[in-house]
Amino acid sequence: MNKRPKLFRRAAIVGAGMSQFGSFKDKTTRDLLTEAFAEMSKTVDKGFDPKDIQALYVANFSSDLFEGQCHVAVMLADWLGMVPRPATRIETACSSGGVTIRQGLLAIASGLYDMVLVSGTEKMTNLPTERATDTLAAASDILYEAPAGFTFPGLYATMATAYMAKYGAKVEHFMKVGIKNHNNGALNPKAQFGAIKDIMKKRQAKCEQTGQPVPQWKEELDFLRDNSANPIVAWPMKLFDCSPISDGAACLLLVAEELAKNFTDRPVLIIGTGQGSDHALFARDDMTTILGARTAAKEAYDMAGVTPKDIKIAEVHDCFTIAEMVAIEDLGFFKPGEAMRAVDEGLTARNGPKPINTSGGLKSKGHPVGASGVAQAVEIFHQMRGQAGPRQVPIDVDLAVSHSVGAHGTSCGVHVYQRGK
Amino acid sequence: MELEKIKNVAIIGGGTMGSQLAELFSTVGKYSVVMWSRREETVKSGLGGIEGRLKKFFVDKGKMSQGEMAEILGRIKGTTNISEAARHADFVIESVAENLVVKKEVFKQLDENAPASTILATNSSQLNITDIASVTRTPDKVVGMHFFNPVGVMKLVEVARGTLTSEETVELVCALSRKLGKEPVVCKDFSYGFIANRAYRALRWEIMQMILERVASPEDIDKALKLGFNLPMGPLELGDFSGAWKTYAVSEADAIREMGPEKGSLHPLIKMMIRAGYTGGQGKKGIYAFWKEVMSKW
Amino acid sequence: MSQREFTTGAFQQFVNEKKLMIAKCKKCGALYMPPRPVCIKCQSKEIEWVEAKGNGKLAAFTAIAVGPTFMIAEGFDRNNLYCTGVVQLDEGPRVTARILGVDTKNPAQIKVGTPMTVEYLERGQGESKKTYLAFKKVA
Repeated sequence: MNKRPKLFRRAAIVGAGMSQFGSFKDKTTRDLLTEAFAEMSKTVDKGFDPKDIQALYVANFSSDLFEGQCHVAVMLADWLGMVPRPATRIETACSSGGVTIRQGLLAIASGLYDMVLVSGTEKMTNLPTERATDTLAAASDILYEAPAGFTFPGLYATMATAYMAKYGAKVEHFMKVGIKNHNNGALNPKAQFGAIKDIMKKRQAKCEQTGQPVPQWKEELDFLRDNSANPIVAWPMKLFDCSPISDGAACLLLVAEELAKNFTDRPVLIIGTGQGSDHALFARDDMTTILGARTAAKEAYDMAGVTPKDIKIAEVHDCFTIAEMVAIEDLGFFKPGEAMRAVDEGLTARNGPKPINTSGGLKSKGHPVGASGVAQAVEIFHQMRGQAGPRQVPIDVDLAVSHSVGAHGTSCGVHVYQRGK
Repeated sequence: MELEKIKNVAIIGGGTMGSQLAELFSTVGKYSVVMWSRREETVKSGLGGIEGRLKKFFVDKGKMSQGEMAEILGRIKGTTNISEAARHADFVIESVAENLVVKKEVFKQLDENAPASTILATNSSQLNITDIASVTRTPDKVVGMHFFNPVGVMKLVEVARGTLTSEETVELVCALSRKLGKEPVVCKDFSYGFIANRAYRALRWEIMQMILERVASPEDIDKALKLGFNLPMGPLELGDFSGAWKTYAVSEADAIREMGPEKGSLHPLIKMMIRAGYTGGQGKKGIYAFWKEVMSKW
Repeated sequence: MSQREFTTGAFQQFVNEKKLMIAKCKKCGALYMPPRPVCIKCQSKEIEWVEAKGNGKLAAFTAIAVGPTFMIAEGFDRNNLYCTGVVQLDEGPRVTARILGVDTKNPAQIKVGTPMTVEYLERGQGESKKTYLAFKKVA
């Protein structure tokens, strides 16, 4: 059996775009993807002919349950003017985006196609919160986790208590991850939420206006510690530890490496791909790490011929703040148990030595399930080409990683990107 | 890491030394032990060896009850999954092949899986600790903890300090050695063979030269050293018993790198013996047989 | 008892009978809860049922304020949290269950490692009666 998977033909991202992420009463998945496609088209330096796109890959968790629309890929193909070309939907819960990038890449690597569109889209806000919670819980183990009353925040919260017991982490470590990501999101025009400091100040201003007693929060941690402003969702995960329910879409124009120069002199190559699976939380040997993520990361790093030390920035799956801490250890950036130090010392801040989630992460940017994994690549595309505006990191980004996790870690897609010459 | 905080210990390697270390850490240390080996058969035979020794040397002699043995064995688990062994370990001691490349590969996996505060010790008898530590992100936690065979009897533990090993790590390993009923001696890691093996190697080289010069037979040389210096066993019969000649031959390249060609190269007599198949070790012929069967004909 | 197939249905049947059952591989000794008909470590199909004593330690947990609809129906909400988590049985396997006997008003005081013992929660009547696994803190 093939022990070292390799790509016989690599692919390059020559265009990347995303819609606004947020809560939009009147937009459907079709509108959101159309918006993302328009944004992407603007980023293809030498232009392209949409008729040359040979296939559409769509990451979508559950248009079925959220919109009642099964078979969503072909509807979206029609909306993008791609009929009669092939359209396929890939579903692996929240890692659908990462896994769809892999499918698009494999299509090109196989030689079957030269240009494909990799996209992700999700519309979640038309369901009330309880129904959305139920829908998301369907991605957990419905036989052995859901009946015990587990919800998504609950499963990650359980991972958090295991982490706290093993390494001595405190709830403030989780809060600091949220603060950092919101600070990054504040600089991202497409993000759903801005800085926690601003949210805090707005609340204080509102209390003043309405004549209510003004809360005496001096800094973000005060605000986050306040249970009335930041209520418990599933202890120790509070409201501001959880990524929001969002609507949004993102897409990437992927072409064979040798054709990239026809579209841009600054392509972003995908040089490594990895995918893994894992047991349900209780059946894992160690609940403070995700084996599926470590497996996917190893495959991607091996294929790319790089080590974690070489990676300059990463977009990781911070569906909950604890998830980012586990992610930076699983990706090998920090040793098991060291994520706390990374958080305390600002090592993963935008101007730190290992910037993580400069886009704002899922936490602040939003988490339209199918779109998230694809949007990570959009951020990397901008950062590598120096086009991330105020979010641009001061270091030279030649290698980056995206890490997209499904459910509480039962699936994972990791990719390594390299700036093309 | 502090001594009192150590609850789980991982032994990496299920061979002669690995299996004895697992036994020691569970019996005397009363730690929860996970013993790893690459192959399932080695894990099984390692665990079987522990049970066999406990029965033969303790239970059958009335020094331990069946219940106590069951308790000791109950604390030891075997696995072929290094991640499973390392992720929960507070203290790791590695005892795989005495080969720098193999040990560095193992330490890379330990670095990926063990928590940042875990002590990573190696039972290596000769290899450079700093070199092994270089593949980890926590060289301050990497240290040499060299036990002698048989572990149940030999009191010495050589604690080899790597260039970047921290004072806390050295102190902890010394305290742990004492807790396990051993006597630690600290030394620098750039001495190939640390203390005991380095001195003994030089002694052996001189004795080999004496045999080549026909100064006396192997039996007489061993007898002189045993009576003259009170050694319980002669260096030659010990070499035959443990297969030391093979070990020297296999590690010649390491020895030359560390000590230079003059001291590191194999003694010509050992080279001759190895080439003719007289390697010493279990059931194999060594210097005693070589003297009688081969050198007598010269 | 020992003739039951190693399925989810069989496991639930045992739970209804207030028995906590582990599926054990006769060949390599691996223990599974929930049960598997084939051992994933050694591929053997020689599996047997072994009853767990029902004692264990709390391995991880959470106190949930925003639950799924069926928990809301039982009266749990932001002012009345419920605790759910993972218990490591003395025999080895881990199991997900409701956690009882802990103070959900002070989740920070709940400790990983607390000894637990199994309890069976029954909901519904007659045909629709279902038994759920729970663990209670040992007093």
